Amino acid sequence: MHISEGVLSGPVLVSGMILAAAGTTVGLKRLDYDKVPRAGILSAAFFVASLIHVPVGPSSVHLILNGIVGLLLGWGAFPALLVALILQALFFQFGGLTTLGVNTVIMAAPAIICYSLFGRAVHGATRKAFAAAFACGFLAVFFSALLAALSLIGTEEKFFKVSVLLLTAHLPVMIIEGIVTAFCVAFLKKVQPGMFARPGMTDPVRGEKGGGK
Amino acid sequence: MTIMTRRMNRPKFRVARMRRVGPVGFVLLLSASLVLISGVPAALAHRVNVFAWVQGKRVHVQAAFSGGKKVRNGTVRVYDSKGALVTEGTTNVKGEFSFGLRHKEPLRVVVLAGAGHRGEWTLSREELSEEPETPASHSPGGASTDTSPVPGKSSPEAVLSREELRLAVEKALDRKLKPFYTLLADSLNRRPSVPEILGGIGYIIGLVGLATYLRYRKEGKEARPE
Repeated sequence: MHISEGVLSGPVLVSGMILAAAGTTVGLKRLDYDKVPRAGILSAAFFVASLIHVPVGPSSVHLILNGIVGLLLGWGAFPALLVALILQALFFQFGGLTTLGVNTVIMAAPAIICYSLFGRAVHGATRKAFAAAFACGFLAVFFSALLAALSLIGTEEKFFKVSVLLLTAHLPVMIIEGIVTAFCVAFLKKVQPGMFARPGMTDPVRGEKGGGK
Repeated sequence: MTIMTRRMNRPKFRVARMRRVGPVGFVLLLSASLVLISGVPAALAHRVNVFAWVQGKRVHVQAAFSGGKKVRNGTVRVYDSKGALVTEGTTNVKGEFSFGLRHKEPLRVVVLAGAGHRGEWTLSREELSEEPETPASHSPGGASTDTSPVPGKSSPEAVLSREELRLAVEKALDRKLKPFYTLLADSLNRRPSVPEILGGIGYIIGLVGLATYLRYRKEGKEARPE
């Protein structure tokens, strides 16, 4: 899903950078210091997840994990994913520095969409939360594929064809991420129920911490 | 009775312990699940490695995603030094494409592997210089210098056989070197190394540390005036 350097046109790159900068600013404002270690862990998980590949068809795709990052960080997903993407570009040559903005938006925007869609449902009953978490992991990748196809409109023209290609290629990843997200959420609900960022609540961690100890 | 109480106590105890292990347990679970899935034979995408080499009068191009999966039906575009399109084509099932060499210009080979994946390789002038020359252009100069030390035996036939020899050697070398070229192309398809992965994680930990440092420094500053 990382878009290489030299593929996209200037306007797409610039608008990607602007959107990513805006998202990161919001993310940094909302991310208080207590959540920094968590953002770090999730950033590292995302960084490493890109090395785990699911071989499908002519191309091969890797895990993204942006669903769980969104659920746990909310808007903090933007800075966390930006850092991981910079490091992936530098160390693995995945994507590139000029496409950093576009790639950040492709990965982080779905994380926030899914967080606002499922952030509440995850707090519900176990079974409902499990289903919501699966949908969250699944749809985060789905939206990422759509955004990637959208950013390629200027270069590969046929949006429909590219998006069908990207979506079918990422179908196994969507399913795997849905399962991974669902199990992560089920586990965390048992272990640390206060860990989930709740849409509309600034800091879910503090209240839980004060009550728990 | 005792058995019953024990049974009832066990889950409680477990939950209490898990609560304490929380964040660490989460990381463990995440990494464990990642390791489990990584059991799937991995082929890394997201970087397209392109390798091109000259063989005789043809240029061979090989394209693969990092990790070794070949780029099938990838679009190959070849540009000269001025950026003009020289030739265009698609890679076969093995991720290969070849085209005839016409000029001694440096070439830039770009492979578009679809869905935003792109890689390129530049062929320098040195790599191209000896190959496309025709035997005819070489023979007059070669004949005069080669034959001068042995003036008596020089004949057009000997010159021709020398030229033929040169071509034959070149052909044989091309044939012998082909496995090395493919080996070279494959060795360029390296996957991210452990130091790179650990380095990246290290940077992230460093950033977390930096943020924590800033926080406590700020707290310290706030505390001082009180």
